[in-house]
Amino acid sequence: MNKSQKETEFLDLIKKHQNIIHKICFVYSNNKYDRQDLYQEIILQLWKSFSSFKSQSAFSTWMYRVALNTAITVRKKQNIFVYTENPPTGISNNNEHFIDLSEEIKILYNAIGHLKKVEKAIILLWLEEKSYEEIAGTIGISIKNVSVKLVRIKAKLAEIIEKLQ
Amino acid sequence: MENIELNKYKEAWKTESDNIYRNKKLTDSEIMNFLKGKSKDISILFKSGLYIDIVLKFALTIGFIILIFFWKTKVETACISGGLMLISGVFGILQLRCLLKFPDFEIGEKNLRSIINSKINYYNNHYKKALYIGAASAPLFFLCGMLFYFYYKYGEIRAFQIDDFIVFGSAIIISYIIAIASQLLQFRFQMNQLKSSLQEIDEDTITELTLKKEKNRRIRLIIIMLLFIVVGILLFTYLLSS
Repeated sequence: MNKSQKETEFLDLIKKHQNIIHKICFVYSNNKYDRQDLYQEIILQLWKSFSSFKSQSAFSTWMYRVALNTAITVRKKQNIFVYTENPPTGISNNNEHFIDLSEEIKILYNAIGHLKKVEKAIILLWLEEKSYEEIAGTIGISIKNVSVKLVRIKAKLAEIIEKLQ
Repeated sequence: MENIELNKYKEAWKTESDNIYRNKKLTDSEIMNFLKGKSKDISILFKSGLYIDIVLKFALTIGFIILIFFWKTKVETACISGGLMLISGVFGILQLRCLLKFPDFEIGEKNLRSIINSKINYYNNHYKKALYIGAASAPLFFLCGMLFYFYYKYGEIRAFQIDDFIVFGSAIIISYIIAIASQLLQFRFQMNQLKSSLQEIDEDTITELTLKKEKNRRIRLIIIMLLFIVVGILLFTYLLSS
């Protein structure tokens, strides 16, 4: 496969599964500038790692792995002057793209914004109905540990949702 | 109760989450622009820092070699320049070694825990040393500039008074401290971010291990109890029969 073929294949796959990138960027960034940086970083990392993608696994699972690894480990900015009391996600009532959304989804996004980085990753994978095995493989923990963590994170998320309602 | 509540939100996620971004579809040109952009990944920044420092160290080495030729008639100054040239050269080689050891974190192949672990290991074992070596560029530049200045201005290094040693010594120390402090601050911030993520991953592993230990303890207790019961029954039967 030559470079342009590889590039075309990559573009097609990214366009097909781009919702994964959107979801992760909205969950892991507080403003549009951070989000824009994260989009770029994730797409760059996906392109860089594209040759490591083996078609035996689903592209969406692989994409989740790369995007989450990137969001959690790669991009770190020390914001000394920015203080956010509520760490919301990019979904808010002020955003024109999201006006017609249900209250549930807005609350859910905001609640996820209050979780820690790894907790966000696990809950996202759970919401996407990934198996415990896939979650364990992405994070690097045992399947038993996934179930222990999920019980705790779901309780925490429910508590946050209750407060936000 | 919590799960019933969450299931409602999970349902909303299933039905709506893919439609949220319908107005935000990325086009080919947007994706291509992202690909042409520069990565802000901290490991890339660390790597660029190493490249720049290697160039600086070798530039300094060349500077000190030139100074040796300039000061060839003054043995002491030539020796000082030679010493500084050696330091710059060795530091340059050490930075080069650190750069060559820079791992590919294989973000598409490894899991989150392995990536964080390999980053922490590399940054702690190699990159931290590189920071201390890198910060030496500032005082070395100061010394190099000073030697050039003395050569062009006076053609010699005048005998230093105690005050001169204090002034120049302080300048060298301060320039080193300023250079290392800013870099260490950034480095510690990055390390803390990585360590907190790793800690987060490990949080429930301890709980899981404790639960496993507790389960094993219970099994051991049951076996012991059963043994006691069996021995007791045997003893009781023996006593009855005798």
